[in-house]
Amino acid sequence: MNRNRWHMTLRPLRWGLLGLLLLALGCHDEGLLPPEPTGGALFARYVAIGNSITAGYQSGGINATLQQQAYPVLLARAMGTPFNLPLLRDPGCPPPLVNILTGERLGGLPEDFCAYRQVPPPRIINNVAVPGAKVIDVLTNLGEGTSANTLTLLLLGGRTQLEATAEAHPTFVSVWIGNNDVLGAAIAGNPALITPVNAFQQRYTQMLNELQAMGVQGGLLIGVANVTVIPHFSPGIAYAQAEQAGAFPPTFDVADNCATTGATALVPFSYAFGELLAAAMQGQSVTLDCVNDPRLLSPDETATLVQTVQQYNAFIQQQADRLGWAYLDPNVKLLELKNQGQIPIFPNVNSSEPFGPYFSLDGVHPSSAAHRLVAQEAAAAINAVYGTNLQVQ
Amino acid sequence: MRIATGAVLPRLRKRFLVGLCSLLLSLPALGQGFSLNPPGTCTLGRGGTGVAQPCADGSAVALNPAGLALVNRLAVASGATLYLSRGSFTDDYTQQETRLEEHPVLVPHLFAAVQAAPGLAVGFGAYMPYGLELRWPRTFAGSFVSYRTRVQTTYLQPTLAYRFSDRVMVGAGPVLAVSTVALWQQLDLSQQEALPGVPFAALGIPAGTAFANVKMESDEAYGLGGHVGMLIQVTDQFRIGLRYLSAITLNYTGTIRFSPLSTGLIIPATVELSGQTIPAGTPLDVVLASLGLFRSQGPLADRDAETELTMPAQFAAGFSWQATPELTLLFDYQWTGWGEFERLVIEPDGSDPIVRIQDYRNTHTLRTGLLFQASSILEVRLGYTYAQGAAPSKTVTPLLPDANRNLITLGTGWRLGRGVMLDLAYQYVRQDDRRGRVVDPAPGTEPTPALNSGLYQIGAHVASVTVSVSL
Repeated sequence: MNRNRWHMTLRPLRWGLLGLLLLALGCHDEGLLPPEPTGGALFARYVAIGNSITAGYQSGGINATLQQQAYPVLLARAMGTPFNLPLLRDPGCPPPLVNILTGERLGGLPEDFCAYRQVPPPRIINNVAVPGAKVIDVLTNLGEGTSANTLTLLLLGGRTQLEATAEAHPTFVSVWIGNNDVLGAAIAGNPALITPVNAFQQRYTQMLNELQAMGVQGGLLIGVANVTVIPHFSPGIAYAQAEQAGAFPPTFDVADNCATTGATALVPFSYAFGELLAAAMQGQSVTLDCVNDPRLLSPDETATLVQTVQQYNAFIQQQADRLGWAYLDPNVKLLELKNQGQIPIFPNVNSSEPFGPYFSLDGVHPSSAAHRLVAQEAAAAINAVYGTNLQVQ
Repeated sequence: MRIATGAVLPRLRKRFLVGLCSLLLSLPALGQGFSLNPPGTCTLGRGGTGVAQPCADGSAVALNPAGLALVNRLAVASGATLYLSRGSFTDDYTQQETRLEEHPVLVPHLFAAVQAAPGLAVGFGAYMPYGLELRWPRTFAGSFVSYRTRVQTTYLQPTLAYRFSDRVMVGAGPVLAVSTVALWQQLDLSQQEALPGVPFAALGIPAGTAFANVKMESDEAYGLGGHVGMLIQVTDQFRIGLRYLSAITLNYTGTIRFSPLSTGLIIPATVELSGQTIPAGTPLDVVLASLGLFRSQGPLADRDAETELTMPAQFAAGFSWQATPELTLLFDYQWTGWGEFERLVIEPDGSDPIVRIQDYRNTHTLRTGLLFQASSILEVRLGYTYAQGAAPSKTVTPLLPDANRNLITLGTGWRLGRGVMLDLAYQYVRQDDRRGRVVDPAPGTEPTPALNSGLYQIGAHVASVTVSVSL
């Protein structure tokens, strides 16, 4: 066969081969890919780390309704990104309070009732926050200083918050952790229970390092709330005034040392109402002593708490700056609300909102209205750093 | 905090029967993905075409039994085809890609044919029309459906062909199918019931918590069918061919073997479960071990199971056209009766039959081939195949991420000496990317495309070699 004949005969072969290659290579069908979040690729996978506030705990309980009103849910909605929750079945685990004086809970169920999780569970969980968590609990569930509880099991199985976070391969995280590192000390009136600042910093750093190792592209760090501002704590003088107004039964005595107009001890609601008033209602004579009762926060102890929170927050802000992440100081808004009188000095037990519109019935956890505020503030902080346009409705 | 009341732990054991049922729902389902190329290296090189003009190496047994009548005196061919599947699943949400474990599979074939009398030929073929094996990592989210599947179905086919005239040839033969099926998967603890009406997921156990490995392996199953074909020489250059391979039903019996896996989870806080206190720090494995699930009388004891699968019928028609003395064009169309596979009925030992809806559809395959006689000792072959996938969108799973395919092939036949041929072929398989799922629907519910959560991207490299003697 001569060269020309080869050439002529091979021509159809050549074109045939080219056609076959084009057919076989094909191309990727873009319609097969999932849509990008409306807020941008940065928010493709958002995970919220935190404690009871982030989890959606309100009024001493948590259920699916409350979980869905938490600020990370609102933030995720603004991001236009999927956000799976470890939803609990109604009425909750435990069901939230409906009456702060009687302690009645939703459905008339006891405090130790738990309705378990909803099933089927989502493959990925985006809100990994667990009520009661301190910074150390983000890292580990076991060991000294940890506060894992039944909700740690119910919400995360046996995993830590970081382990559950890693499964989502997050592109963006929000972290609001540290409140419980001071709150327990405040409620117990014992500053010795405060997590030391250096331990706080070491654990916080470890948490951020592990998040970075997951390939997180951006984040929002929220500072620790000044727990002495929350309406769960009232100054002794408020109790003295309430006594004068006849708010307490005769068996409940408020010592004169509470009536000073200077700085007085802060009285935890859970102690004054939950223990002292409850005993007084049963006929037992009790006295609220604003100087000698170790369960109260003395002015010095309050100052220690406030100073610790400031140190925590200085560190958190420094870390946010280091990483180029957004930072939100919740105390700016908290003090603004306090100054506006939106956070009552003393609970109005006859109101449907005894702790004001921004705190739920336990006086510790933000209400749904406050979650909306937090989400709006968080969106603004994120927009300022990342140039995004998140709008929380 | 109290998280359960009433029921006691021994009830847990009965609840694991639910897990067994969900396991059996995942028996491998055949699909276009397990259809192998028409056998033989020569045939592969020309894109699987040959219904009208089978290769002269005896592979006509599988391509068109009538083609045996074209054998001069004797044809014997022996060879093997190597399949290397490659692919991945990309999760929609995490965008994490899980790659198939590359595991080459060798599929041998053997053909023999002899002219017993003028116009009459007899032959025998051993080939595998349905087979293959897929392996995913055990960490794959789809491992609860399957992380390894193996189907091997060999057809043994004695064949008789007769030439009625210069223009018409017919052939037929019975087919004995020998088949085994094996499946490996993990069981998800979150889906098992811990207490009546309370699955482990409700206690917080995360979705996808593996606690048991399952291996289901069948014994050899046998089935009978038949294969008939016809060739018509329309002109000296143009020939048409037809063939029909019947469906073959196989009844499988096998064994399911369970073995425990560590969940790696630790109970983070002291909890009270069914009146028992489980202290913080207790490994979940310890709690599960105390239930005796894997004991000989336990709910996850090894057991027998039976099921039935049907290898679908095939009908093919094609033509060949010798355009020039050196150039021949081939075209085949094949219909495969996957539509018969509407449901899978499983009969586990000691419980009611389980019916799984498949809703497969019949498939159509188009093949074109081109033969170029480059010299007296060298033939160059090209081929292209388009094959439809059988599985509907709701059953694209790790067992078989089925989809439409494009296949291109290149082959050559080199005459080594008098009557001795060495055939080589390579094929690239590009399956269309297709969305699929990595989880099964809840027991008692039908799958839907809404369960699809990612993209399967599958391809394969196929290489084949055969040595044949044709006298």
